[in-house]
Amino acid sequence: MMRIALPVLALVVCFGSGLQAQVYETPEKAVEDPDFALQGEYTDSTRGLQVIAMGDGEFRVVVYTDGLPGAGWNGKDKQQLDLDAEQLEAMVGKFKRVERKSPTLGIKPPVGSVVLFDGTADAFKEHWKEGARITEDGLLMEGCTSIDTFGDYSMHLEFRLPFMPKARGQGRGNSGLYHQGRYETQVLDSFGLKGKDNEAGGLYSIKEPDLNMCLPPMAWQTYDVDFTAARFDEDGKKVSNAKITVKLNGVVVHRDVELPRTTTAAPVKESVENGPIYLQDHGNPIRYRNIWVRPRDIEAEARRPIVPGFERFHASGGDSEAGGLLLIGELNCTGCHQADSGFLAATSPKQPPILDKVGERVHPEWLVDFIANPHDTKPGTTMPDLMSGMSDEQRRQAAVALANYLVDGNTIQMGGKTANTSQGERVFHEAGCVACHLPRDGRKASADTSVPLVGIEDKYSRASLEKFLRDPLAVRPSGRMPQIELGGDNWRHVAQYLTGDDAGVAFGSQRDLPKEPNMKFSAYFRGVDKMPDLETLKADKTGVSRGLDIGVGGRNENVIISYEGFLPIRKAGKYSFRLSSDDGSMLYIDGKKLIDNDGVHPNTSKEASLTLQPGMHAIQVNWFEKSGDEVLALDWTGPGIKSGGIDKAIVMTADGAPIVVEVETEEADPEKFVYDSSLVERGRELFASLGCAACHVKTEQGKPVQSTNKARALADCAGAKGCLGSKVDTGVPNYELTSIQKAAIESALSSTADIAKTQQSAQGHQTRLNHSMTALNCYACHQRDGKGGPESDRNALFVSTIPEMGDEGRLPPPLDGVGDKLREDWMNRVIANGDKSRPYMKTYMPNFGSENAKPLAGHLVALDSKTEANIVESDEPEQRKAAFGRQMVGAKGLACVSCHTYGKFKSTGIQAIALDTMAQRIREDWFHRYLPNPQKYRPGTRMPTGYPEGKSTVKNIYGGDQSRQLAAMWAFLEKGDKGGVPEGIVSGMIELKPDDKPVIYRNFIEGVTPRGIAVGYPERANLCWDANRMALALVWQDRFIDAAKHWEGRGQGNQTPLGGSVTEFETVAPVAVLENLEAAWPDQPPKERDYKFLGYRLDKQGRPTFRYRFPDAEVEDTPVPIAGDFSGTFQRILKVTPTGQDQNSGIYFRAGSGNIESLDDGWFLINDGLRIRVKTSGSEPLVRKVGANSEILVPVNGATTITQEILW
Amino acid sequence: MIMHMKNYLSLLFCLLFCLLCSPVLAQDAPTEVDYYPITRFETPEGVVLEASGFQMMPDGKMAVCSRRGEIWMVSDPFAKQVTADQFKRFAHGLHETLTLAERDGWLYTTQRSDVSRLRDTDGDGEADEFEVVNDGWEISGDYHEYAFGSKFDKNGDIWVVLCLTGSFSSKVPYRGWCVRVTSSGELIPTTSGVRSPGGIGANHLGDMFYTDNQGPWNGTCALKHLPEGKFVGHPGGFEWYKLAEPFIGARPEEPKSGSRFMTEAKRLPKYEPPAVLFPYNKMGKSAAGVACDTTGGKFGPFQNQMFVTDQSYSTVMRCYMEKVKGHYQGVCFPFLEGFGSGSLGLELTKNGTMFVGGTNRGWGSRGRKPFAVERVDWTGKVPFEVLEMKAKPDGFELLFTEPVDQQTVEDLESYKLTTYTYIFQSAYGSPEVDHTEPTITKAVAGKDGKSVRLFVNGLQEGHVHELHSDGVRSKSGTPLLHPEAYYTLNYIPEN
Repeated sequence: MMRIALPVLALVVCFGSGLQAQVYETPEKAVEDPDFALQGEYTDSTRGLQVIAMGDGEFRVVVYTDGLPGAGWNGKDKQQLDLDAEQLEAMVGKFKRVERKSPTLGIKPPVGSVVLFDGTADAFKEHWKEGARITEDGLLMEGCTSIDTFGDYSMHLEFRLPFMPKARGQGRGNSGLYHQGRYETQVLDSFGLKGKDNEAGGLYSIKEPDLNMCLPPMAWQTYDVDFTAARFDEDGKKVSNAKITVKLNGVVVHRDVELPRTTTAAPVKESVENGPIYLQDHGNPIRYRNIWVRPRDIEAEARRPIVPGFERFHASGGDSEAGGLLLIGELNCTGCHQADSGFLAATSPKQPPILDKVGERVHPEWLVDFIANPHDTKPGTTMPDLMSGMSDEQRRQAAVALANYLVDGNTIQMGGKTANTSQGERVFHEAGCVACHLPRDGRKASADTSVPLVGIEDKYSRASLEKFLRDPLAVRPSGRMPQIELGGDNWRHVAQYLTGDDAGVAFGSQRDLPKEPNMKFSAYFRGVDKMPDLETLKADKTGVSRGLDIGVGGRNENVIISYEGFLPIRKAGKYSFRLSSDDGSMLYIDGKKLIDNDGVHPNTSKEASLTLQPGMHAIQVNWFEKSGDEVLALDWTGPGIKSGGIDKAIVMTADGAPIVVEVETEEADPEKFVYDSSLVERGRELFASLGCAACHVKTEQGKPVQSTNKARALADCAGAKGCLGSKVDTGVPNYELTSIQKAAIESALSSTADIAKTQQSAQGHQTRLNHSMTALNCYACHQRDGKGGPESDRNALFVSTIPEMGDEGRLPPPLDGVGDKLREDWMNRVIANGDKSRPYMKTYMPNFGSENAKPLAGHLVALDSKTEANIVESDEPEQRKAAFGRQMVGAKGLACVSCHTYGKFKSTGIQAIALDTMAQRIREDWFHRYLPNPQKYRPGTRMPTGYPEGKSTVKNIYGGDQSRQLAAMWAFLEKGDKGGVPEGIVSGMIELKPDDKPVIYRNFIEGVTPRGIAVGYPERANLCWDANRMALALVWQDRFIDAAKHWEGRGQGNQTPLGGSVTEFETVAPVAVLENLEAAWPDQPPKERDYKFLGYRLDKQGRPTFRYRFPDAEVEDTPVPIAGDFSGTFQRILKVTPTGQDQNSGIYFRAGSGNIESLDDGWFLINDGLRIRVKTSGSEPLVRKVGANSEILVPVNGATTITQEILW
Repeated sequence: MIMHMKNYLSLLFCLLFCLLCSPVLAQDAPTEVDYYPITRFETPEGVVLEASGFQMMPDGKMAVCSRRGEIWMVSDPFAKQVTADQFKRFAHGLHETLTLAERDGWLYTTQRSDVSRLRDTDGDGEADEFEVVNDGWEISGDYHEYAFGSKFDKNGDIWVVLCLTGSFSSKVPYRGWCVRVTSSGELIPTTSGVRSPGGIGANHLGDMFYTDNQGPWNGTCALKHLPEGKFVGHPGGFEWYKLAEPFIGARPEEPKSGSRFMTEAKRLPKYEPPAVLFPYNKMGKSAAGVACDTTGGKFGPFQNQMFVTDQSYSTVMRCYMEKVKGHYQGVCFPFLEGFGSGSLGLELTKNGTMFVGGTNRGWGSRGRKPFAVERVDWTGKVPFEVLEMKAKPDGFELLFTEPVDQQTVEDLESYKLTTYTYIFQSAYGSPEVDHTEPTITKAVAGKDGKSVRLFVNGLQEGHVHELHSDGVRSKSGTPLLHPEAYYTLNYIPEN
């Protein structure tokens, strides 16, 4: 190769080095240096390379484990090499060169943006201060300041670094993007460097980027920045720091980072004033283009409804119409606005929660707050404010009435067992919750694309959230909140973690007792096993007690205490009590026994409830403790009562008489919700008239309540400015939409007819699939067609139990071509029921509900499914094929088992998806195409091909015939867990290997009576002879048997042979007497016919001859194994010696039965699988028809030797 | 503080006293291994030898069978150390073969499926002929269905005890029975009522005994006599009287659940109560192999007594039995602990050597090794033990192995006696119930200087009498190696 360094275009003195450096300003120039073509990025299946040109044919190579930064790199391991061009060329020969492009490259300015630079002279003049320069080809040059100034904003900018191979450090492609002229995000050629705060992506002098995402020089790169200005009080004192989220080349490198001060060399000081965009000049030729800034009002936007898919794909531009359609569905606009069915199908509207029994689910106080001010109570909610124009007081009254109607005397579920908060935290962050919700453990993700959980601790109790999490689809059938099969107590752990509700049963001294005594007590010092009649006993001690204080008796064994007091009830309704004790206890209300928790027992809780009227109620608790631990606790809940200990609620006057309480006392706590049945009717009216009923299902007498609020049809909404107006009118739902959201909805509304039409077109599948995947937020985890997949700063939240598997073991699979790969029924099952087929992936595939699943799988099949594999047909029996398939996947074949598991058996390496479920999941056609070329279907997969250049690496099976091998493997996979464990799987196996002599194994074998005698032969043919039935019961090939089932533990259960092609051969003794040739073959158990098993003899090679006799003959049965190419067969020698008087008494050997077909050379095909041939020293075999079956019979006249050849 | 000082002083005095008066105590107290050391055999590498049964062969080799269906020959089994190269595999592929016997050059084994006999016809040291002697019982495929066979009885029969199908029921013929397999290969149903045996063996008179384990109808583990035609407790296998009637007569009435052994024994003449109960958690938890010392003194002073292994405690126990009112009953003592695995197979060879086989697969044991082959030799020293404990109409008589110190043996403070029994019930096991504390009114040393007669007020028929003789000293001042004894007093002898 010619290497000529061309003259420099500019001379710059490098920092530190003092070298004179060449500066190539454009790509056209850069190619003049041959090093330029070599520098850049490369990958192979496990590594990423960044090659930095250092000038004059010298290079620095950074090798990243698992892939390039932001594209697989594990974030830890990298190596650095210094190579010359020759060495480098040798190295990168094995790699693929990649030109990565930022996903936001060329993004269009969204509505309301100020386009600072789009290459036009007009924009340049209008927006940039004097001194700004533009190149001839319309690129903005470094060293310019915008005329416009900004407060909060989102911005996009594209930059290109010059090629300066000899420059180093801050002398190499230096510029900077200053926000408000105050805070610099660095622009520098930092390709391959460490990622410091003074390098590209860095917040200069403040914070390093989370990842060095700098691309090589001359690549166009992007900055996407969300900036929130500092806030100042009236005196100009700063009250909050500026905040910034920065994406470099589409990857978040700073999330919500505070900027405590201006960065070095900032031209503008911090103040309340807005500031310009400033692009720094360090004398290096940096080029800029496509710069726009969208001013924002962060406070107002915080109240907007958050639809993650919209925020991610449409809020910064993108397809506005599709975004609008998404919002119409997710905000359930069609709840009020009528739309035709085509349009409804296009939006698949999200149904808001079903409100039946909502009182059991949420705290009523929260309900009131939420209804009164949804956007304050839960910023980001998709529920609109329906009370526009009402005063705060009116809102509150309406909300209280609605809450009373909705709660309807129900109380939120409380209590239950306590859970493990840290376990809940772990599960929440690992199981996939954080794909849609924000992590809560200090790690950061985009709040914009996260479904808010604000106020969840005020909304739910642990018990009610647990119930919801176990089956969210019951309340929210639209599947936007899918169910995750967390298993065990994990739902409870997560519920406790999220609600902070960790109240358990409080015991003894831990109880929150009142400060002053409020009950009388009588203590009796005696040991009892059951609560005695206290009336008949004399108390040993009496006095007053602070609640149910078990210390008052002064002893903790052999004591009985009776507590009495009065319980004031303010609201009529149902009250529930839970009495927990160790040992026995009783609860009496108004003298009647309500709970009987008697007897000596460990801490045990019993519950009961009753309806109480307002007024004072006598309460008595009797408790006794014999010995051991002592516990007494009484919890209660009821209308207006938060679940908890009753102790403080009890009142007693000094002389023991009840305090008279006003039934309707003033509200001590105005925040406290107290059920008032008189408000229910008002609430019902509001529910219908305000429009709640338009969206929410609330059933009364079996029918959902109907909304009386009328709205215009959706088709007539375009331009109507009702909900979308700049100021929302009284009586119109207020969603707090942003201008971008409104614009998107407007865009969709203006083409409702087209949208409905698209449904019928061929495009429909693609459009609807995309819509559904956005609405259900499939894209939060899965990528398809280059869209979606975990957002860059959520990526790290996905974890694996096997880190060595890299991203494949951690990230949910991409869905490109998934409708080709997976069976439709499997996709339906996975989407509808969730899945955990990938045990190494900690994230679960959640359950979206079968109604939501069906259309998705249908679209995927319609879009992807292909039938183009060349699958060979063969007449080989399936189970024989499967046996070879098993060898193929085993250690001596393609060794699939070195990564893939099989049932409960682990593989030797990583634990990739199980072989026994493969055929349930994937399509045969795809399997045949995939296996020879995995990379084509799953770029970057670790799965190797067994067929490099179309040639099988396994030569000894089917002579290396690829099609037949694939068909055999598929036959094996189709057997699922019945195919048998392939060779090479390591586990707790005790594999018996007949390496040079036969191995005999007597135990419980599947398919044989408990007197089976299994024999494995070195010829890789095996059998099980049944000593109860005197029959050769089973034959199989290849491996013999795993004894672990019987030789570990107690040994219960039948063991299935380890080898393949397991074939039932005989079920009954094959030698018998027939009265005549019409007589049926006797099939009652031979032992009942006086057959006697005599045992066996072993020959020199250790092969058994089985011996038995019956009244007419003695039989010796010797199976002889015959070695084959890769599995054996048998030749069985039977010696029958008649012992009766009449040597021709009708003894036959039945050589076969079933569907018999005669083949050449004396062979018979039985039941399309087994082949046998018989040679006899006596009369020739005959075939007879018995019912539907045929039988091959060999007559025995005198001592006869019969040879039976067996192929299967 | 004062209390502490006082204790300390008395301890000091005690020590001084001991040093002056009792030279034996001044040394370390003797332990079991001073009399009966255990030698563990090295087994071939990679071989899991879950030894369940033994048989001395005419050529001087010891045959060992294992739960994995193998039989190994150990040459020179009495060598000081037995090493792996002394093991050679004789046979494999048997079905959980648990016991062995030998006759006429054939090695007989009782395996799960049958009684078979094996021999090596070509002299290569490996069996090549496997003949079924009898397979007249059935197996349903449940792992509980074990079969343990005895040595040959005086008629040349092997007695086989067959575990139930599980703990409660019998799915196929003769589960829950003892059957005999005659030398002509016939099967004779002999005794019903078996639950879960662990071993079987005859006493010195040829009467057959087996161990049964705690569970339904077995409040605790026991050594039970197997009288022909009787039933020994668990009615789960009664269905097979329909096959056994020609041999042993009609099906008896079933015992009442919740009753007591002796209440039922009096009501049901066909019921034979357990001869020796092994109190649960005291003597062990899982009684297994049985062997009788007929060595004529070569194994120490315990001639004609029976030894029983306990699998979970990894021990060997010792039993002395006598016949009272025509029934065997007697006492058990601890004998030897510290075996390597769960003690199962037990053999006492004619030359006075004991072999113990161990496995803890499926059932845990104190000995932590998964399997073991071990030998116990008698050093020739006689431990100070209660040799015999005999029931008397008004108490017990204890015979000791050594001359006793008259003062301690007659001191009532030397003894502590309690009694209890177990519920005879269909539910699993039983707690100790009906506790009493009889009074020893008098202890009179025997004229032979080696015995004592205890007069007891309040003997309890049908109870275990748990006697601790902690205060008894030998003439030389030695305490009993095992001061505890558990006598199952089913019948109180009359004068």
